This record gives sequence, structure tokens and C-alpha cells, in this order.
Amino acid sequence: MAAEPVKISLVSNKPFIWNAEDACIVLEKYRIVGALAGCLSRAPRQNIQLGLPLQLMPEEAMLLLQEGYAQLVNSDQNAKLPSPEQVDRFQKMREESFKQQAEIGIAERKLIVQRRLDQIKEGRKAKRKQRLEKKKANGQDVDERELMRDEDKLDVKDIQITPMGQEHALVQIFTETPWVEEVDTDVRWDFPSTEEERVRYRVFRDLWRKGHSLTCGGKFGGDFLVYPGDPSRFHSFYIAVCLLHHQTMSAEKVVAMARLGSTVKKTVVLCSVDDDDELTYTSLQWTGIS
Amino acid sequence: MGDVGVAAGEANWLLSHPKYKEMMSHGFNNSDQALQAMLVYLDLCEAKQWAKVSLHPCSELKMIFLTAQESERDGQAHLMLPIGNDAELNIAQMKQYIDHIKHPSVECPSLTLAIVASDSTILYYKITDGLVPPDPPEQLQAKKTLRGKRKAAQRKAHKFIKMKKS
Repeated sequence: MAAEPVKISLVSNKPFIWNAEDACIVLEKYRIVGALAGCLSRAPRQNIQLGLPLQLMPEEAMLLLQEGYAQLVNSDQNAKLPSPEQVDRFQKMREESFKQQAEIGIAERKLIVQRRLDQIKEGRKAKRKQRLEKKKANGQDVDERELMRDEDKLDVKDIQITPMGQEHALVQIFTETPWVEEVDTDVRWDFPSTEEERVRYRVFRDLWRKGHSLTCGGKFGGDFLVYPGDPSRFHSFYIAVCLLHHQTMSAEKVVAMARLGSTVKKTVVLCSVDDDDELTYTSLQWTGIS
Repeated sequence: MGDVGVAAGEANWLLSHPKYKEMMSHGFNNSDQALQAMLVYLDLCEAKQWAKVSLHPCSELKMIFLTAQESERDGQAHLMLPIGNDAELNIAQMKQYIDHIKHPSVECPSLTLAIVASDSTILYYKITDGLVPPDPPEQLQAKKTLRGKRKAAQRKAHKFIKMKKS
């Protein structure tokens, strides 16, 4: 049974995955890493850990599309005003959610009261004593039997619990809208369109097919970082720099790249497509001769 | 005595070196590259004290290259190609170098580019066809300590020579 293709939507011509399950699938099944670009609603004012959506490099998205693992969807439809039927469903969902939360709230409160029952009893006794002492001091008549009244028969159901107001209900904010079912796949994407983009995509695809994982190489002055396996478990081995086969660069540039590579314990690999339309890889290393 | 005269005198000395003459005898008509090769030859022999340093012609590329090894005992011979640091490199060119610079005494598939600057500084960077994984951390640590020991031994030797002279 072929798996349902994951949905990629283009926003400002950049590919994003909004669905949480899809994001897991592309990493676990297809070795596509991407980069989380969104804010976590429960931990907003930091950028150590980001959340959905998962932003893909154009090469990553293109590969998923070409292999049939993904489909491009039109996210503009989300900007349409909701139909009366959708509004109705939305209201019902909110009410249902609030009801469930209210029930759970009362159940939890009862548990707490049960745990604190002894304390509550003590507290009530003390309060009553205080009131009676005050009455005595004022010279009022005190029924001694009141003092003897036994609090120990107090039970959880005797304690009044205020129900939760709707203003305290938790509300889910969806990253992918649940209100739209039909998937609109009428989307055009012009990638790759330049010679450089074509080379980059071919290099990405070739290395991916060889079993590597690739991520963006911007931090190291390259196009891709190439890992022998899962990026969360390995350091990358290679910094891939994609060039046109006859694109010239100075010897100084070559030296700079190779030296950077050796400083971070990675091999810089110059990648291009040669005149026979074959992929070529040239590794640069510092010899360490000084 | 003009400055030009002194500078010309120094360059003349290199030009009359027998190894330089040997390089020019191949008829490549590439005096710049021959001069770079001359500097690399001297650097490897005198400064780095490598062993079995030899010059070879490459007729396809009309360039001179060298074979050398780190020491007498270390049997691993390396291929070195001198180029200027003003050379315009591209991947096609580097592939040409790797394909044509070969020698029967060298097993290693890598080619070391010896990049010569106008002030005679030489940088050695290795290029290899394909994906070459980096050395694992244990090997890097071992190389560091080995190089450190060798340098320390060199320093000691120089000190001894200086002492004897004075």
C-alpha cells in the first residue's frame, strides 16, 4: 500500500511542511532533515528550540516531489472566509472541548479535596472555635453542643467545588488548519531554473541516493553539509561546494576553503557536472606540511 | 650599486642552478612554472628536509612536478605540482592535473598542489578525486603529537649546531 504523499506548501516561494506527522515521516522514512522555523506556543521567547513549520531547502522539496513522496499543495485556500457549515463545526468543537475540560477540572479538584480532607476538617474546627470564643467574649449565649459537633463526618461531596468558567478553557491553536479537507494541488514551482540550481539539485540527489543525509551548509561557507547518517547522531564529514565545471576561482579561495575544512575536521568537496554530464567530486585537504 | 642590480643578481643565481637548467631542457617554454618548481624543490630539500626529492616533466600539461617523501624511512611518496597563487583554478583544470600528473613510484591517488606566492611562501594542499572522509579524531591526535615530537627534535639539533659554532 503506497503511503499518502506528504503535503508541502509554498509560502513566498519557499517550501514548508505544516503537518506534524508529515514532518516526522520525511525525517524518519526519507532522510530529509529540513529546519524548523516556527515558534513553540508554550515556549515563545527563545530560539533554542523552534517548532513547526518545517522549512525545506528547495533541493529537499524537489527530491521528495520527484520520488513521489510528497505533493505540492496550494495554501492560498486557507485565506478564504469560512462557510457557515465550517463555522458551525468550529463552535461545536470549542464547546465540546470546554465541556470535557470542565469535567476533568471537577474530577481533579475532587482528588485534591480528598487528599486535603483532614486539613480542611481541622481548618473548619478552628474557625468555628474562633467564632464561638468571640461570641462568649461578647457575652452572647453559646450552645455548648455546637462545640461538640463532630466534623469527622465531613465528606468530599459536602465540599462545594466551583466549576471552571469558559474564560479559563484551554484553546488549541492549529499549525495546520483542520477545517479544509480537499487538497488543492494546482501549484507551479520553477525550481531548478538556473544552471547553478540544476547542479546543486543533482549533487544533492546523488549524495542522498548514496545514503547520506544533507543539510544547509551556510554555516561553513558551503552549499551542503554531508552526514554519514542521522545528523543528530554524527558530525558531518563533508562540506559540499557546488560549482560549474569551468567556473574559475583564485588559488587563495581554494586555500581558504581547504583550511576552513581542516580547522573543523571536515573535508571540503568541490562538486560539479562535467562536460559528459557526469557528477564529479574533488576533495580538498590541508596536508599539514608546515 | 643599484637595487635592480642586486635583485637581478639573486634571480640569476637560481637561473644558473643545474636543476633549473634541467627543467628548462624539456622545452616546455614555461619559465614561470619552472621557477616555482625550483622554489618548491629547495623548500622540500633544505627547509622541510624531505627525502628522495625529484623533478619530473609532464608533457601533456607542459608542467614540471615533483615526487618526494617525508623521510628516508617513510616509504610513502607524494606527488607535488607547483603552481602560482595567481593561478585561476577551476574543477575542470584540477581534474586535468589529477589525471595527468602521475608517476610509477607513487601509489597515492592524491595530488598535492604546491601554491607559490610572489614572496616565495609555499602552501601545500591536497586534491583527490572522489569523496575522501576526514581523519578520525584519534588519528588526528596521533599526527599532532608526531609532528610535535619531530619539531622538538629539529629544534634540539639546531641548538646543538649553534652551540658548536660559537
